[in-house]
Amino acid sequence: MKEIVKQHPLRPIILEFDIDKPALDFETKALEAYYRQHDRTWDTKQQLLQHKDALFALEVKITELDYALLPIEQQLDFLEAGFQLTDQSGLPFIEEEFTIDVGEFNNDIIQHNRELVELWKGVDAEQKWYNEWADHIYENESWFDEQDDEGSDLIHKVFRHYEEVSVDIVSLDRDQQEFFGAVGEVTELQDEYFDYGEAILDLYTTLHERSEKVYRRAERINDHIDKNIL
Amino acid sequence: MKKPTMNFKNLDAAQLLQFAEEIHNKMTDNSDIFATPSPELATLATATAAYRDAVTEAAFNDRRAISFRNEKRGELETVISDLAKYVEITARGNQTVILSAGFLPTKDPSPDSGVNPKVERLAVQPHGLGSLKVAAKVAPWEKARYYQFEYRKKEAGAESNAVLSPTSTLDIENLEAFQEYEFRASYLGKSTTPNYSDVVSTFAL
Repeated sequence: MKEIVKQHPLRPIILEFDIDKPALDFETKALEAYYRQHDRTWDTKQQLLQHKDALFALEVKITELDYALLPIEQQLDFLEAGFQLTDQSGLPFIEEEFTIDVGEFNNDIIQHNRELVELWKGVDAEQKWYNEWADHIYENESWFDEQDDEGSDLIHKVFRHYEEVSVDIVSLDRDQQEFFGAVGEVTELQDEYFDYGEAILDLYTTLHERSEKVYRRAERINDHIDKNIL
Repeated sequence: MKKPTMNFKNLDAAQLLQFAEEIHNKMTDNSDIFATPSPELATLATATAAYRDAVTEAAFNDRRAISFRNEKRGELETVISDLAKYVEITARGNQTVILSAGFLPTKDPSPDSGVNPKVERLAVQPHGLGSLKVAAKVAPWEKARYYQFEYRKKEAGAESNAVLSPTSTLDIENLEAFQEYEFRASYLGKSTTPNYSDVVSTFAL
């Protein structure tokens, strides 16, 4: 028996062969299919990691824009009270005098809006990929396709014809069990990705709704200034 | 719609046995829901026991035993697949019923299958003379995340420009004076595929 190690980024594939036996046609195809299953699992893992990273970058930006709303909302409270658009009773008491520059305040709102629009482009791209992947997994239940299923049938055939094939099925069996373990890890990664993606998209929706309320309040103040002061 | 997952082909031997036993136990416990399973649960029990014995036999790296074990695995997978189809029909998408049969429900398809409604009442009004801008307005839609306005010069081969607005009104600026433009708009909700309004035209002043 000769041990042949094929280095694969997912995991090394270690099989033993009886070099006195010629490789049968279906056996060659079965092993090619086995390598293909490794390729597709590795490719899936890379894509999931890449999109999980992209979601993390979105989370950072969402959090940043969420925090940026806090001082804007506080200024809105005082401006609305100052222009007598709302009741003043709920405002905190501030001992010293202070001013709010309406021009600067409007610039902050415009800047926030620009960044929210820019963020949306990233969210949109990730949401598209998320939806396409969710649809694909719903239809196919995994990243393997029909060609991979046919490959699995060929691998079964190798096990059935263990006396004729050159690959040692004891080594193939051990290697395949390890491959199943690697597939399980990528499946877990995929579950994490779906949970994380759902959470980030919800987070963005919440940010968007909160921002919308702030923009409407700012518009109301500007309308008031246009009509009554300018 | 939820359905039982059939993604068990890459489970290792111990996981597959555990999965088969879980299905048998849960469907037995919930026999009021799964009154006439097809194939019968006795068939599942027999296939599971045969696979378990074959796994034990194959533990000593005997080639014939490994081959036999794989055959028995194939038979067990077929029984589980057939039961999954029965559970799918019985459950009719109900996740609780799927779980009560010991199966895992599939991941939902994207929640984004809804189509954005077509924009209604797109109105475009030029501002005053020399302003070079127009005010575009559509009927608001509560689920819109953005409103996408598109405009182009009304002439052959003119390039379209798209502007995103978080509100249903938008001033479109820097247009050419006395040039006629075409406008259309779309809501963008959870679905990001545009569904454009009818085209309206006006001159910039």
